[in-house]
Amino acid sequence: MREWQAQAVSMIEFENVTRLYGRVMGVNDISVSLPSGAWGLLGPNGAGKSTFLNLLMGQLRPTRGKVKVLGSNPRNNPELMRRIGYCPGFEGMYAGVAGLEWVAFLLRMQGYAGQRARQRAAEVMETVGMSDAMLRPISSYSRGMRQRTRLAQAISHEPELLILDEPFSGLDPVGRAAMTELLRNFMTAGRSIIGASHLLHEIEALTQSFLLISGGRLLASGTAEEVHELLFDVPMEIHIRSSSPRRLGAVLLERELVDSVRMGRSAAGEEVLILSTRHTGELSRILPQLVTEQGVRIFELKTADDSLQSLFSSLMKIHRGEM
Amino acid sequence: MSQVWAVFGYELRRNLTPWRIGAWLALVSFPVVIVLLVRFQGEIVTNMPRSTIDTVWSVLFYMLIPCVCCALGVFLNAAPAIATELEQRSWVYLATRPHGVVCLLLGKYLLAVVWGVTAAVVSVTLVTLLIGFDPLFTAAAPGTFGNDSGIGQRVQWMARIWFTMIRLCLLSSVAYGALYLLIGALFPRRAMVFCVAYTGVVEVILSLIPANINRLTVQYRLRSLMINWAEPEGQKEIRGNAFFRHVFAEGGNPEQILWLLLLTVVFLSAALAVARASEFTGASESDV
Repeated sequence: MREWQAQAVSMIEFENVTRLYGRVMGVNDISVSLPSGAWGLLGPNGAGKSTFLNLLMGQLRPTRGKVKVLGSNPRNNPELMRRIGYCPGFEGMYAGVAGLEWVAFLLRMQGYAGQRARQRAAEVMETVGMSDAMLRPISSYSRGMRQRTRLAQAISHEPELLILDEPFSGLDPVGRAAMTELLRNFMTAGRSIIGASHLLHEIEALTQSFLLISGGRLLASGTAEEVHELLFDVPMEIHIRSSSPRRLGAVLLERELVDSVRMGRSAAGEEVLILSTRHTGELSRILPQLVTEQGVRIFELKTADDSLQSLFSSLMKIHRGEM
Repeated sequence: MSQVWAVFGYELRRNLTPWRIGAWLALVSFPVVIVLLVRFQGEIVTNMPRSTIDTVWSVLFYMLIPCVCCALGVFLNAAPAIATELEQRSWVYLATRPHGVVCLLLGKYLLAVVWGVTAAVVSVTLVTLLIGFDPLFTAAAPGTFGNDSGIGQRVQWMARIWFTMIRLCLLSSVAYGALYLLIGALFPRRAMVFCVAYTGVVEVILSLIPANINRLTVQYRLRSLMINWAEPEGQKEIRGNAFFRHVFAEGGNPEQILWLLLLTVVFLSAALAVARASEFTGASESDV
C-alpha cells in the first residue's frame, strides 16, 4: 500500500460554485477549501449533496465558479481519475456478472493488465469480506454485499481520495460497523475520504469534520462539537401537553427559559404549549422542579427539532436572516 | 488501447447470451430466408436474361446484407451504447475511470462492428453458395451444370460477388456503426427511435434525391462502390441514365472509400466529443 504524502494544495477547493439544472438550483455559490483528511457532507434529502459530489468527480460542470480537486480541474481529467475512487449512492452494477469479474473489469478500465487486475480484484474483495461470494453473480447479493462490492471497486486502485455517497444506506447495524471499520482502515494509510449522508450519527462514526449543506448552500463547516453547538445555539421547538399549559408557559417566560411561547392544538383538540428555546440543557434540568412547584402534570413532551432536517431548516432561516 | 480491448472483451462476453446469440442468428438467417423465398418464385428469374439475373442478384444481395444485415447488426449494439449504461445506472462507474468515456464508446463501437461484420460474412457466404450453385438460378445462364466453362464462369461470378459484398459489409458496418454511435450520444434516451428515423429519412430517402445533399450519405458511397465492384460491365449503362447519374457517384473506388472513411472518422470524433461534453451523472433526475 502506498503512503500518500500530505498535500501542500487543498484537497478540495470550491470557488463561488453554482450549479443550475435549468431553473432548479443544485448548489448555490459555494466557496470552501478543505485540507486532506476525512470529511462528512451532511444535508437532508435534496440538499445538493449529490450535485456537490458530481462536481467533485467532474461528472458535472459548474454553471459558475471553479472546482479543484487535488489541485486540478476534475472535468475530463484522466490523471485525476487515477487518484480518486468513487462509490455512488445507487446500485448500477451489472447484475448478471460475478462481483470479482465486475471489479476486475473496472480495474482494467483503470489501466491494470488482465492478470494483475484479476489478482488485485480478488485481494480487494477479500479486504471487503466478499471472498466467499465473489464468484457469484451480483444479482444474488444482499444489499450489504452489494454495498461492499461497490466499495471494493472504489478502493481497488488505491486512490488518494475516496468519495462516498450515502455509504451506510440500507445497511443493518452489523453492516454499518463493518463498513465503518473498512473505511477507517482505508484512512490509516493517510488517505482522504469525503462521505455524504443525511444522518449525522452515521457519518460521525467515520469523521469529526463536517460540511453542512442544505438548499444548495453550504451552511456551516466544522467539527462534531461545533455541529452540536450549532444544535444548541439554534432555537429548538418543544411541544408540551400538560394539565395547565398556559400557566406553565407563563412561568417559563418569567424565568427566561424560553424565547417565545404560543398555544396550539393537538390532533385530539387539546391545548398544547409550543415553545421555542435556546436553553434546552437548562430547561431540561429545571423543568421537573418547576412542574413539582407549580403542581402541573405533563402528559407529553416532544421536540419537533430532533432531526437534522430541522437543524438545517433553522440554519437556512438564519442564513436568510429570518431568525 | 488496452482499456478499449477490455471493454470489447467484457461486452463480448456479456453479449454471449442465448437471446443475443439468437438475434445474431436471426441476422444471419434473414437474407438467406429472403433468397429462399425468391428461389421458390424461381420462374421470375429464370425468364430473365443472364446479365439481368446477375444484376438483380447483385442489387438484392446488396440490399439484404450490406444495407439491412450490417446496419441492423451495428445498430443493435452501437445505438444503445450510452443508453444502456444510463438505464442501468452503471455509467458513472465507467465514466470515472481514466479516459473511461472514450474507451467505453470505442470498445462498444468495436464490438458493434465485429458483431455486424461476422453476421454479414456468414450470411454473404451462405447466400453466395445458395444462389451460385442453385441450378434454378443458373438455368438461364449460357453454361449450366455439366458444362465446365459454365461452372467456371459461375465460380468467377460467385467469387466476385462474395468479395464485393464482404468489402461492402466491412465499410457499411464501420460507417453505420460510427453514425449510430453518434446518434446514440446525441439522443441517449431515444437512441433507437432516432437511429431508425435518421436511416429512413436520410439514408434511404435523401440518398436517392438527385441533388448534392445525397453525397453526404453513407448509402450514396456504398451504392456507388457496389456498382463499380459488382457490375463492372453494366455500370456504363447505369450511369448513362439521367436519374442514376445523380444517385451513383462518378469518382473512382478509392475516392468512395476515402469518403466513407472520412465520414466514419467525423461521426466517431463527434460521438466522442459529444459524450465527453455531456453530463450523464447516473443519478436519477430527482437526485440533487
